[in-house]
Amino acid sequence: MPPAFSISNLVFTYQGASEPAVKSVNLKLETGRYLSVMGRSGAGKTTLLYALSAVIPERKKGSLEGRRFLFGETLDGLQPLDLAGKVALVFQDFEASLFSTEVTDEVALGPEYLGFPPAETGDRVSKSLSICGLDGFGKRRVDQLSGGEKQRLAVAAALAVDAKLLLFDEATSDLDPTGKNDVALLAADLAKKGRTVVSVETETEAALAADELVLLTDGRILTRGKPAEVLTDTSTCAEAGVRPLPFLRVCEEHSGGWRLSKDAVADERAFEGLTVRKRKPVGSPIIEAIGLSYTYPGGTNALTGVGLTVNAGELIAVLGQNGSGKTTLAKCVAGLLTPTSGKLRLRGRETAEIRQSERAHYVGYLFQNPDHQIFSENVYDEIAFGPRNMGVTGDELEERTRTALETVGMAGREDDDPFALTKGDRQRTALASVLAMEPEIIILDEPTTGLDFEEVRSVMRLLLDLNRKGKTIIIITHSMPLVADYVPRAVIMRYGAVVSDGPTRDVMAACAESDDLGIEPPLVTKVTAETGYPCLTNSEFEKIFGGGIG
Amino acid sequence: MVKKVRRLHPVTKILWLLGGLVLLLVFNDPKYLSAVFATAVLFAVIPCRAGRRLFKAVPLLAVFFVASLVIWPPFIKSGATWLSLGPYVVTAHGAAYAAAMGLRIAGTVIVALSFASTTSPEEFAAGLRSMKIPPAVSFTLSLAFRLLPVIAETTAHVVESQKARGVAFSGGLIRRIKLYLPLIVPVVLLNLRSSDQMAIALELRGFAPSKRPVPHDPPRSSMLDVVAVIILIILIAGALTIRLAGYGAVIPNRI
Repeated sequence: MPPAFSISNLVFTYQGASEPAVKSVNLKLETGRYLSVMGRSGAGKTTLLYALSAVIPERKKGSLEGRRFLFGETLDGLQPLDLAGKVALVFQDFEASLFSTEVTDEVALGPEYLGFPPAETGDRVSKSLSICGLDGFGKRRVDQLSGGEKQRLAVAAALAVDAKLLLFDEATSDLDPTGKNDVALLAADLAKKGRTVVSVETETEAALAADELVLLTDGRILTRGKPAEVLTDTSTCAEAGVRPLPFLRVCEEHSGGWRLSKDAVADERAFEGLTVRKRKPVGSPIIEAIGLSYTYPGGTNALTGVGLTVNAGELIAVLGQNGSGKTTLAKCVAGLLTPTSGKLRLRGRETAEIRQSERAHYVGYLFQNPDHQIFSENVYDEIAFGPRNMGVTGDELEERTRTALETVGMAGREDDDPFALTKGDRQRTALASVLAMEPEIIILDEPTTGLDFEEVRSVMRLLLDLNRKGKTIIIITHSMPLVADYVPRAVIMRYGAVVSDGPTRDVMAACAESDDLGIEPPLVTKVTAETGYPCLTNSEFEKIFGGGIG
Repeated sequence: MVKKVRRLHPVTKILWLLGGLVLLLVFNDPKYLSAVFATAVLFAVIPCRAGRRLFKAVPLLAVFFVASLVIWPPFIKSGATWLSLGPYVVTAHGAAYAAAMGLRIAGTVIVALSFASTTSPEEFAAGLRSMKIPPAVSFTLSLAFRLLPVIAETTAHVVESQKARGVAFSGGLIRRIKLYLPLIVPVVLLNLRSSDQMAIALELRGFAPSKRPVPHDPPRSSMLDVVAVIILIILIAGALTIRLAGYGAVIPNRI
């Protein structure tokens, strides 16, 4: 049987680019294997998927060298349409690939155009929706789904065509941790059943379910091997800009698996120093939600009596499954939605009394997708829009815009077209546009989605710095390692209400012990929670369990 | 009742859309067109449940109506002169014809709203295919209709983004127009940007303008469709008979 695909000496340079996106890549994968691909932004991951789906050079123009074979047949001269039904691709920007108004129609579109009999299409639709946790969503409108639900839908639509090769380009970036895990297990299951899966990941834990992991750097393959082996190699991970999981080696040595028992603890006293993270004293309540509810016009109850107090100067993370109400709560605070009932106060004032133009002084809101926020023709105008609208002019406007640009490391890029920037830079531009309004509270909805490990660290350092300067920061995220690494207080929402609120270590440990909260904690917390010494980071693990991993 | 309307075969709905437009074209006397207009409003509010959308569209309809009242009179010279301001002359026939045209434009918007409230883009596409419209034409029409919600969503995102930065999208009609007009450029840019990817995504799922899909849940016609089409034929035939009998026109030689 020929391999699922083989690529030899692949070099591709996008039209107008000065350097190739992939440089002499050789890669072969047998049928029925699940391969994860990781690396920095710009390492060539997406280009590799485009090469396998004939998107390059047919739809994204450029010069291509080398040979590509799919199930023994050359891809030369083939169009993406020729591969329909054989290859399915879930795009990084999944929203741009959704086309229909209703969930069922979206999933059915592929099988219908591939000419499957109606009964089979119906069957495929229900199975794909069920696999992706979208049972009962068939009649829902696509535009009323949450970001994570839309991503599940994009995956379901790809599964419905029953392709032999599935390509996932960060297909789980907006999913909650449980959803990420489910998709990874689904990919492993599909591979066992004979499908071949190639999945680009940004979070290392998601790569563990794969048969193999390839690390790309600067358009070349750096290494290839079993995920657990590659990810415990700290120096190789550093070279590829990927978050390592060195503690797995200690677990492997201790138990032959990913488990630890209490006798693995090297220094119990070290834990006492970790239990309470240093938190600077916080101020008086800046946000108070009491019995806050919100129902969307279609009748979906997104918030059902939320109670939450955030103090000035705090840095908190709001976690929860897709559709749990996180974004709705944030939009109520930002004044983009008006609560159906309950009370919401900002600095003690009822929000109903605060005009939208005034609210922008209090709350800055960074959208889940920076492309939903950016609309100006150059970076400067984008950042200056907010303060200009607030009546700021002349030198002050100039000063605020320059400061915001410098804060996010975008000084000198004022004339750039925001739409031509990388996702990381678009995220920075969007953040700068919020910072320029100098709000007291900054709400960031999934600020690190699609960013690589180093970009995440850079954004988080920036936020920590703003927090130290007194800004109240609320991060909505599905990235548990991010919360574990940087955030002292975590709030979990479920079914439109707050179900857990406390220090991050306690909340994560509770998640490790029970499925009731619907959150999968970081792997390091999961493996250490059973010992009674739940760690949040690699360095904490090193302090308590040793192993020379730090 | 709304469920029954929604369940109508898409071809029936398309015929009603076209029929509604024909009815609005039959008369140019505002008295007769008022009756057609009132019927369109009634249909929009009761069986189509488009009342909310209609209410939101009232300012826009008012603008169309007033613009028509101002623009049309100088083109009609017949009838008694009511007002003469240099070249701008308003005659009795001109004023009546202008009011009729205002009702016609507003009525067209209402008929389209009713159609959009009861027909999804997918149903529209299915209806065009059932009518054996050539794939290239039906694809273009259904694509335009399908993209409307996408454009609406993009517009909503840009509006939200501006609201988050302190822009209050409220106030009078003129202020709203001033606020919404600058959104055209970013909305078009954002949609153009994503359209390239959408095209690739659809292609990989087997979608091509020339291909005819095999619908998993094809629309079915029922007795209700027959009744609906008969009612439509009666309405159009009645209207045409009235017009051919010499009624319903301020300017007989014009549509």
